[in-house]
Amino acid sequence: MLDLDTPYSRAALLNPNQCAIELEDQSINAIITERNTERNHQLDTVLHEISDLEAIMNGIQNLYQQRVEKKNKMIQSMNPHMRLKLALWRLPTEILSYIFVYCLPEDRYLSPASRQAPILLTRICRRWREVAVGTPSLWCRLWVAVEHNDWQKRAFCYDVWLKRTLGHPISLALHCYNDWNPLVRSLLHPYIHQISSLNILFGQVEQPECVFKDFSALQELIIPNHTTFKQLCSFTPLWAHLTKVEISVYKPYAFLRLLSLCPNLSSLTNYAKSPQKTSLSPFTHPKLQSLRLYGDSWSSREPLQNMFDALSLPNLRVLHVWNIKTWPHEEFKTFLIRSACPLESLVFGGTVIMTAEQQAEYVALVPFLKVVAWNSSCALIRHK
Amino acid sequence: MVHLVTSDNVEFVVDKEVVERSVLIKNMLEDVGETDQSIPLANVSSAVLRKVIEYCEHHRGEPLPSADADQNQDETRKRTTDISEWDQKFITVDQEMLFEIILAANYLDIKSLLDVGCKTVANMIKGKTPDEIRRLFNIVNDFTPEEEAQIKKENEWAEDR
Repeated sequence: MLDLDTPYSRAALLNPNQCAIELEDQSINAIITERNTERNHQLDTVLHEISDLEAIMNGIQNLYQQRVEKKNKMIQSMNPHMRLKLALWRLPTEILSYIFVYCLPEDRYLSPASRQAPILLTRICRRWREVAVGTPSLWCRLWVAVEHNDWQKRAFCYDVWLKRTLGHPISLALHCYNDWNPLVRSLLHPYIHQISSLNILFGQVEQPECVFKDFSALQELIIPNHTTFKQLCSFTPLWAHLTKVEISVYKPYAFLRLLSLCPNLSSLTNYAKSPQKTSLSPFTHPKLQSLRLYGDSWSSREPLQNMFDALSLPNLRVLHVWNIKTWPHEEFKTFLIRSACPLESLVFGGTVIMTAEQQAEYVALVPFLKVVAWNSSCALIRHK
Repeated sequence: MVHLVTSDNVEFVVDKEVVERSVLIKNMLEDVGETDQSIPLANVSSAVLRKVIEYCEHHRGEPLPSADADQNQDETRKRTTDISEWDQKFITVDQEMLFEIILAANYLDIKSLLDVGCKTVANMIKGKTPDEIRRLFNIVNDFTPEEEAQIKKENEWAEDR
């Protein structure tokens, strides 16, 4: 240990005033210089030693850090190999993809949400992202709300989503507000020939042919709004190739107009509210196989008799009727005889009342017919 | 009766009607006809096969899903993840066994069991955050900062929804 004490420093500790008296005869400057030189020399030595020690400590610290990093890298490199032993990492891509399809929300159309599949699945790790992005069925049903609010961000997100359909058929719900035509055209242009099913709702559109002329692959059309039907019914090319339609058509003549617009229709669902009693010209649709008619138990007044009076459906196999207050038994029998259809299934529910005798009469006319009464839970599922 | 030998060399003797729920074994038996020879199952351990046989025993006699049913299933439409009560109890196993059952169901071609397994995993994923999913399945987040930024950008509008 270096002795840094001097007679003066010891004296100063005992009595600072005495020190000042004893120093009177000496040259203070000389003492200071002599002591400072000595101390500076000692200080330099110590500083040098500290610096050497710091260099050694830094070296050790670096060495330690290197070993820690090496350890972490070794553990990291072991993890993937350890994971490979786990069954999850041995699942083939098609099984992971199959699991992912079950992760989708059960809604008919999906709106992009980062907390839900399929987007959620792209945020876990590289492999999951690769599998999710490479599974078109995860991306093939999309709900697009067309509105100006945040449209650039929305459109980018929809476009990323639609790209992942990789050319597969798309089921699209398109709900539009004002001035939607140019926005929709620009978004859907690259995918227009993939859209096989379209659920569309809008208030107004000028020149519908500008929007709808390119839907070359469209087979299914769902129009939940009567106004939309009125806007579109004049544009006949849209309807010509449709095989499946869900619609709300209120008036029987509009219903027959719809059938005449769609010669290739095999399935039609109509959510009619208040059918009016009108006399209709006879009409035959040779291809329609499935007809589902849903009324409204609160507002239905007139039954279906005028429609059954006018229609012939020689290929009808399935008929569902729901919430039609007065079942037109005689007209339905006449309809069955006139159509001579291979009806296999007659399903009724809600407010429709069909007596056992009436059912027996139908089976007598169509021997392979099964008549089924729906319970309310089935109805809820159907209307969802 | 059919003799099956697992990867750890354990022999199981199983009723033909039960084991034929596996399309792979059903086709094998149709190809080779009646035989006393054991069928080796190199990809299935005895612990997993025991579970698979338990499942097949319970569902003995139920109609097998046809190839047509598969084709007719619309991939783009909703799929329910409901699982029957018995199947739920059956598939309440540790995670490693769950994935082993899925792998075995896939290898043996037992579609209904594969569905039960996959639905179970899907139900485990649903409603969780990415971090929770990683923790649950011991997955490492291996995205680079650039990839993270890309994911954030493409989901900007979908964020918090």
